[in-house]
Parts: sequence; structure tokens; C-alpha cells
Amino acid sequence: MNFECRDLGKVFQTRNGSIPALGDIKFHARDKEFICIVGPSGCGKTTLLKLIAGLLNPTTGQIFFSQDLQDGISRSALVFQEHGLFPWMTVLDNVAFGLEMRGKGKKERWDLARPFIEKVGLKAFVNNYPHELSMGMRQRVGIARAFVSNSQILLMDEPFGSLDAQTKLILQEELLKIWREDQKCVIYVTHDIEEALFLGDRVLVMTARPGHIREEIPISFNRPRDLSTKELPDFIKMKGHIWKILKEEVRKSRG
Amino acid sequence: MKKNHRFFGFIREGWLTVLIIFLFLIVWELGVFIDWLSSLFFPPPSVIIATFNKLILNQKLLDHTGITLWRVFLGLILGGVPGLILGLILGWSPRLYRLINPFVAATHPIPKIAILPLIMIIFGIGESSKVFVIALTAFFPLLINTAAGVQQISQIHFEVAKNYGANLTKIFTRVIFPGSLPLILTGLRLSLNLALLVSIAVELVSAQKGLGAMIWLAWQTLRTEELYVSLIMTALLGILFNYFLQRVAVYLVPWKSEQRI
Repeated sequence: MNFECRDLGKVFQTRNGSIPALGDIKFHARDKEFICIVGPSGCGKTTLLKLIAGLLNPTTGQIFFSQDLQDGISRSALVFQEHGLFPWMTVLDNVAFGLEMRGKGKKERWDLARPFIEKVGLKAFVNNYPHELSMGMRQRVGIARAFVSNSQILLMDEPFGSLDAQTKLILQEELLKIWREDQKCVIYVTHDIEEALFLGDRVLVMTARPGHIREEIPISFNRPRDLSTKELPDFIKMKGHIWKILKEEVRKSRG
Repeated sequence: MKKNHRFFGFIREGWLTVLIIFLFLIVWELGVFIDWLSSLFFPPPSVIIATFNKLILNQKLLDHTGITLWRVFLGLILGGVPGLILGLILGWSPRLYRLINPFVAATHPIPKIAILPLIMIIFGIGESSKVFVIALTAFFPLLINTAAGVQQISQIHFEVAKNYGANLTKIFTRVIFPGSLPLILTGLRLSLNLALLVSIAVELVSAQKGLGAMIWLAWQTLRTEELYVSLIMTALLGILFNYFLQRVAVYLVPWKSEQRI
């Protein structure tokens, strides 16, 4: 499924007046495309994801999806940075949650969820609760849940933001592997430029608040990517380029 | 080092507590025996145990206990269940909470036992006024804790549920209820303990039967050993309630391993 954001804007009404969070977001996400969004903190990245997810309504503009809703499958599945799992459900029930909401019976949804739990390497933990898992394992559960739900758009909000460097690298590679087997349109928000370049087909760089898209950078490194990708001269050049933009934006936001 | 370790293991198993209680009882018994303690105020443990035994055999103790338990149970159902349901709704809807909370805040601090006379004027001196006061007691802790339990559920959980297409029923059964369960159990414990307390108090002032009535009758007739027996029975009920609830909590809230209610 592909979709298009047209002139998307969001203004939050608060007690101290209105705060424009997003202004004029324009982009087209192609089917099976991996899009990374980087931007200075507070630029409205999370708001953009929530708009696409339908958790918030845009103040201006619209989002056009290429397919209508079908059969209760939500268009998009969100993966949160942390606390996205239900602490009162086991790994199995967490992963099967999307299927449960679609009215699938216990046996059917468990049978569908188990292979994905195995795929993210948590076979031994199906009946554990999230508090018994490490942060990295919890994020794996979140990813499995999003893939099981069969939504065609995956929205990820800094999913690996709170992980240590090694775990992060491993999970990035695992995410790419799962995504190659089951290609969905992914919108991946991060503040980590290297991560964006490593994962994405395209990187959208956002401005300071109210955020809009300042630059679109196509990424064409061969897949599968690994550590050596990060040492390519083009990779390092792009990283420097995005750094420069973000620095400017951060300065601007400080006025 | 090794010895030290074993000593602490000994404490952990609770044997030390048992030993201390046992020593205390022996000192008590001997104290009465050598006339150091008055047997009118402090009947020796052997007499209390004998009385306990007698009152169990002639059904009297069990009858009174059963009536108190029944009142606690009725009060908990009639007051606690509405408290739970209203708590879930108020916790879920900030607007309703703002609307109703002032009334809760105003009525909650009134000691329920103090309005018993008023309730008896309205409902008569029969069973219903007693149960009403107990129910009112059980209502508030469950209401307040359940509402707080729902309010502390992270917004993210609601967003996840919504994102995966949960309807209102599913949000209640899969997010709101399990998410607030730890605090619901805290509310239940408070409701149960207060219901027992108020049952005894109500029975002290206006009942022919029940543990409270038994305590009062024993005092009026100066049968101190029966007084002790009914007090021990009341304490046992309280201990039993808390033990039972702890077991229930471990079973119902396995995801909060640190859960202590």
C-alpha cells in the first residue's frame, strides 16, 4: 500500500494558546518503501506518525491511502519507543493482540503469532511477561506484534532509541531481515542519522517546529546492508550533510 | 559464617516468631498461676483455649462468626461491586470524574458508623440498616482505588489498543480492567478490612448476633474468657482475609512480581 501526505499540518490547542507542531508536510510513501525521518527534537516527528496512524486528526491537509480499510485490519501498526507492550499480557498475548482485536480465536491467533516470536528469537519466552525481558527483547516483541498484525504500513517511533549500541545494531539487522521477507511500507522516526542511512530507502530531514520536510535524500546502498555499509565514502558524506542541516535547524529553533 | 547463615534461615522460616509467642503464653499462664496477673482480666491461655473449644463444640462461636461473615460478604457485594464499576467508569472518563469527584470527596471522610443512627431512622433497626452501613463502608475504598488504578494506566496503552482497532469493550476488558487490577486489589483489601471493622462496630451497638454482639455480651456479663475468644476469632478473620487476598493477587497479577497488597 502506498500513501500520500498532502499539506499536512497540526496545531495543538493548549491553555497557553495554540502551538503549531507540524506545517505543510508533503511526501509520497511508495509501497514496500523504507522511509526514515530525522529531525531536531520536538519537531513533530511523533505527531506525524500519530497522524498517519489515525490517532490524531490533522488540523489542515489530508492523507490519501491507496487502499480502503479492509476486514478490520488496521492500515498501520505502531511500534513505540518503550512501554508499548501491555505489562499484563504474556509475550504471546502481546504479539497476538492485533489478531485478537480482529476477532480471531485463541488457537488461531496463537498459531499465527508463534512463528513471528520464533523469528525474533524469543521462542523460549512466549509465556513470560514483559518485565521479565530485557529492553532489547521487549522491542523485538513490539516488532513481532506489528508484523503479525498484517497491517501494510509500519510506523516506528524511535524503537531502538533506548538501547545500547550493540543491541541496537543487532536489532537493526534483524529488522531489515524481517522486512525483506515481509515487505511493508515502513515509516521510521529516529534522531540517529547513521541509523536512518543504514535502514532507509529514503531519508526525510525535517525542520525545527513547526516541522516540515526540508530535504529528501534517496539512499541507494545495496541490500542486505551490514557494518561495512557504514564505512562507504557516500555513507560518510551523507551523514555529514544531514548533520549540517540538523545543526542549522537546531540553531534556528534556539533563535 | 555458616552458622550465621543458618540462623537467618531460621528467622525466615518464622520459627522464631512461633517460639516468642509460645514463650509469651507460658509466661502469661505462669503469671496467673502465681497470682501475679489477675485471672479476671487475664484469664490464662489454657482457660481461653478450653472456652474456645467449648464454644466451637456448642456451635455458638461458629454461629456468631457466620453471621458476621455474612454481613461482611453482603456489604462487600452490595457496596463493593457498585464501587468497582463506578470507579472503572470515573477513571476512564475525566469529565465524569470531575463531575462526581466533589461528591465523593465530601461524603467519603464521614465515619460510616456515625451515620448508623440516621440510617436506622430511615431503614428501621433491622438487618437492612446494618448491611447498608457496611456496604457504604465497602463502597468508597474500591471506588477511589479503582478510579486511581485506571488513571495511572499509561496513555500509550490506550493508543496501542486504538491503533490495533480495539473497540470499547476490548479497551475495558484488555486495557482498563487488567491495567487497574493491582490497585483494585488494594481497594478490595481496604474495603474488606473496613467492612469487618464496621460490622463489628455495628454489632457492638445494635445486634443480638454476630462477633460484635458476642464481644459486647461477654463484657456485660464479665465473661472475660469469652471476650478473648471472640477477639481472637475477629483477629483470625482479619488475618484470613488478608492471606486470601495475597494469594489471589499472586494469581491474578503475575505481571507485577513486586505486587504487595
